[in-house]
Amino acid sequence: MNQVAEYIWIIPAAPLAGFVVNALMSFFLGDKASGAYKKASAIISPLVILVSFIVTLAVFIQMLGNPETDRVFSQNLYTWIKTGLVEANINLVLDPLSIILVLIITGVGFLIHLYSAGYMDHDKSVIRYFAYLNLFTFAMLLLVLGDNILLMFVGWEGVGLCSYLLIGFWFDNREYAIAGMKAFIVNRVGDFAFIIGFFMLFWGIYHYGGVPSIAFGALKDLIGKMPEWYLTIITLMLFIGATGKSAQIPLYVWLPDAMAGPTPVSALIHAATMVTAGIYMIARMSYLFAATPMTLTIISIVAAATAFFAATIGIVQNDIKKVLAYSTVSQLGYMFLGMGTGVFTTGVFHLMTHAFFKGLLFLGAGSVILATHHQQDILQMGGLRKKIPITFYTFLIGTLAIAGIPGLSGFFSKDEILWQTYSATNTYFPGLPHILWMVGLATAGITSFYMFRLLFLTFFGTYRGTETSFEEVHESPWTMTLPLVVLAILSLFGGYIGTPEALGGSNHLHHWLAPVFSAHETVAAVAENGATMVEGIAAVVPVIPVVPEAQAHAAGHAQEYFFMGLSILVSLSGMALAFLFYVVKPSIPKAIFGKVGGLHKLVYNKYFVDEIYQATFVNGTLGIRMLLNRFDQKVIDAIVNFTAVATKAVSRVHGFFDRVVVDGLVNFVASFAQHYAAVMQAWQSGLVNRYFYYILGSFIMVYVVMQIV
Amino acid sequence: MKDAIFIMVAVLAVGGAVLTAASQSIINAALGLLLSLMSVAALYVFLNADFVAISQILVYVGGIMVLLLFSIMLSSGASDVMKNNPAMKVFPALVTVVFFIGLAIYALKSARLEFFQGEYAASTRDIGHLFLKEYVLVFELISVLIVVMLVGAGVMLRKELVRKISPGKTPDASSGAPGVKNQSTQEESK
Amino acid sequence: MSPLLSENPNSYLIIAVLIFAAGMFTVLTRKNILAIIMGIELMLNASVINFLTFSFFRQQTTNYSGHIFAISIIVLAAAEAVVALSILLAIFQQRKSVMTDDISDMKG
Repeated sequence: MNQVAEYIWIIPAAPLAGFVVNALMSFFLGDKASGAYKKASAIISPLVILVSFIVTLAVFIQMLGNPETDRVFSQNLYTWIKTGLVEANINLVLDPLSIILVLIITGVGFLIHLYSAGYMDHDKSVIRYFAYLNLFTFAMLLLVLGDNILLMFVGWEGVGLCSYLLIGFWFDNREYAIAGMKAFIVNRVGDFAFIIGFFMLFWGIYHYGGVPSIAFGALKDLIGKMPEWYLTIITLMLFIGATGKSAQIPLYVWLPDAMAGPTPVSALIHAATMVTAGIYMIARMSYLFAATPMTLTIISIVAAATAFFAATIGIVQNDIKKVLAYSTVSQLGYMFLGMGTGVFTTGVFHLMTHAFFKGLLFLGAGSVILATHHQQDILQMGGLRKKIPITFYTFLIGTLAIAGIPGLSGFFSKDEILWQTYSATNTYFPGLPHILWMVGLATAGITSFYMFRLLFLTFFGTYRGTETSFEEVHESPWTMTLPLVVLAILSLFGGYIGTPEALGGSNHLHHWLAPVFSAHETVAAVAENGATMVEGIAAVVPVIPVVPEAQAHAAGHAQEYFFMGLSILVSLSGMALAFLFYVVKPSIPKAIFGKVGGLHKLVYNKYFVDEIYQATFVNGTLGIRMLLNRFDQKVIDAIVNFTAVATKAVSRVHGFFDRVVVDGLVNFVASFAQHYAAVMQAWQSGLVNRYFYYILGSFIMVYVVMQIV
Repeated sequence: MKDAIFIMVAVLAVGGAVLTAASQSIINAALGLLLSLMSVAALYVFLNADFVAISQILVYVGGIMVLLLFSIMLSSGASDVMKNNPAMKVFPALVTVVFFIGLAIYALKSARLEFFQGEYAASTRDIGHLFLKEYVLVFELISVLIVVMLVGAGVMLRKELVRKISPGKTPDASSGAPGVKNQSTQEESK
Repeated sequence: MSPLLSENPNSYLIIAVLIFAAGMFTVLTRKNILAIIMGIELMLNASVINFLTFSFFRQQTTNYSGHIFAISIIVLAAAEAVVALSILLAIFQQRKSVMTDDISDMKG
């Protein structure tokens, strides 16, 4: 009945095949490949992603047709680890949650591959680029499709690797290479926490008992068996891993530097897919997180702080891509805020809409960059809307979406997050949800402001560019503009699947994801009702006690309308402010920045966080290295020298022994012989008379002896 | 009567020996030896050893003594008067006395000899028979010994003769081909 | 035992001992090689006396083997004296001296 499940393996296999083909071409031909090979690569690579997308679509359609309970398709490929303690197989699973992500990865991914064909057209290493891009897609799909945490981690590491390869793609430039290394190392720090997290999971299985499989489905059983403090530590570790991958405080520092890579890379990896791996991970193990409200609290706080913090930096950046990078960090903060509320649907919803409009914005930025002949400073741009209209209109749609202007996708997802944040109840800090909501609201305003600032400075006003003349600005080819248009359409209409009931929609997304998240929600509901179904959770009331709809019904739609209106107001005022500053009266910003020069400098330099990290962690590590180096020299060399000295001393003893004892012996023998000879000499007188005496003496002796014998 | 002669002979024998031992000059010693040997020959007669007595006189006195005297003369030791330090003779005398007092006591104590009252006269015929019948090996050995002695003496003294005839040319290994030198030397001497 | 001294074996033996002692004293004391040779002759003589004495006074049968031995000793003494004298003469040609002090080349 579910024959389509037999074909799930194609979804990761196609990009992998694309990677192999591209890798072989790149390996053997290198940068000296002729144009034909480059064209072939540019055709094959998007094609394989398209194949994956089609298969995913087929599964999706099948899933839609099936009843709610029968929407999990899995395919067992290979028995990987099977010991008594741990069991993990290579199984690919598509359920309502992962299919959304796979659709995004393959769909948006395909568009970006297509875009890359145009963007990287004249680059000499385009084959290598596509090889990496395909490999990335494969790893990301593995991450999402894996049915156990180990397989997910393989994908997790894989995307980290590809991120490094792609960020440092133009490694001839030293700074770009360093940016790549920075991304990988910071990721590694997060991965370390992640590993601790799932090792603790394994040990917990061993210690507290449970099914030895680590498939996600099986892990649900563990919740009852492990104590809450243990689970809290595990989830905290996993979250720290997520901060590394998804650029939250304190491990976000790699993402702005990651703009060194080609722009489509930024679009794919840092807007739509890799950075969302953290969100997906939390969503996947939602039951674990739901059982540890402490972790959820921490996630919310960190997320809100990140969102606000990154937004403030975004106001004053002048590089297109840097603005968008900080915007990404900020929006990821929103997603985590959503996850922190315990209503995991909101985070996934925002993930989806963000993929659309942020991907659109990045691709648009790439188009602008290409149009202005690799100019990235927005202060050098202006008035471009007349020259590159398609880019302009799509970019406008993206900006409207991210600002949360009603009607577009971003409005629905962001609004849902803010509403859920406000409605949440926290047992540790009762006032926290309101504070977080306020922070989120302020961030929304700031987001709107800096995005419109970007739009106005780039496309409005007069052209300020000095390196390229205005006439040379040109529109991008169809391979680039087509994805822009498609994404713009998605940004416009993609939000409607999550329309809350308050506005008349039926929140399809929430219904769609309900089977995935319902387990924990059931548990939570039971706990709230006081029944002690499971040990660990009994004493604790989770952050969100009830299903959102129930909550919404209870509170009535009035409150929801009110908050919706509030957020619209904030967004619009941000837009108006930007309009004022950058279109009507451009002199105002200069005046303001002149007055708060110091503050501006601080924010412009990203609060010197990178410098602080350099001074403390990096230099600290280097310092430890120096210490160890000195230890090596002093101690180990001392041991070696000691060996030498010891050998010398021993040899001296030997020498002494040789001189005194051995030579003494030899000399003694010689002197003994001499003395004996001296004695003998006295007997050899040469005188016959003496000799006769001796004869006499001998005769007597013989006689005596004979007498005795 | 017999006794008196015996005592006289004994005294002469021992006296001659003492003279040899104690005399200062070598000639005196030689003469003392001569006296002693003669007396001992007479003593042999007392022991009914006629043949041995005669052979003693012939060989010892007539041969060895002559040789000794010649040697003394040739070695011009006669003119020398030996100055022996009397003090140096004490120790040997002591040794001698002690040694032979002991020997004498032992010999006298342990000798079981009796005088045979019978016919005991070793005639030449008897001795000759003994030499050629029972003791023929001794006889032959003595002959060999004499031959060896002659050859040895001849060898010893032959080189001296060569050197004496041709003085100044002594065979020397360091001066050219020794064989040639030797041969020329010998041919000259011949 | 016969009262005659000449029939007493002890007297002959004493004579032999005395001559032997004299001979030994000569050898031990004198420095002249010829004197030493003389002393050796004396000692040999004394032994011959011994032999004959025992041959004469110890007769169960008519046994003259003592005489044979005596003759052998005499011949031997002669031979030895000859050789010794020839050696002495050879040395004398070289050293021009017959004192033992001068021919102690083998000293040490």
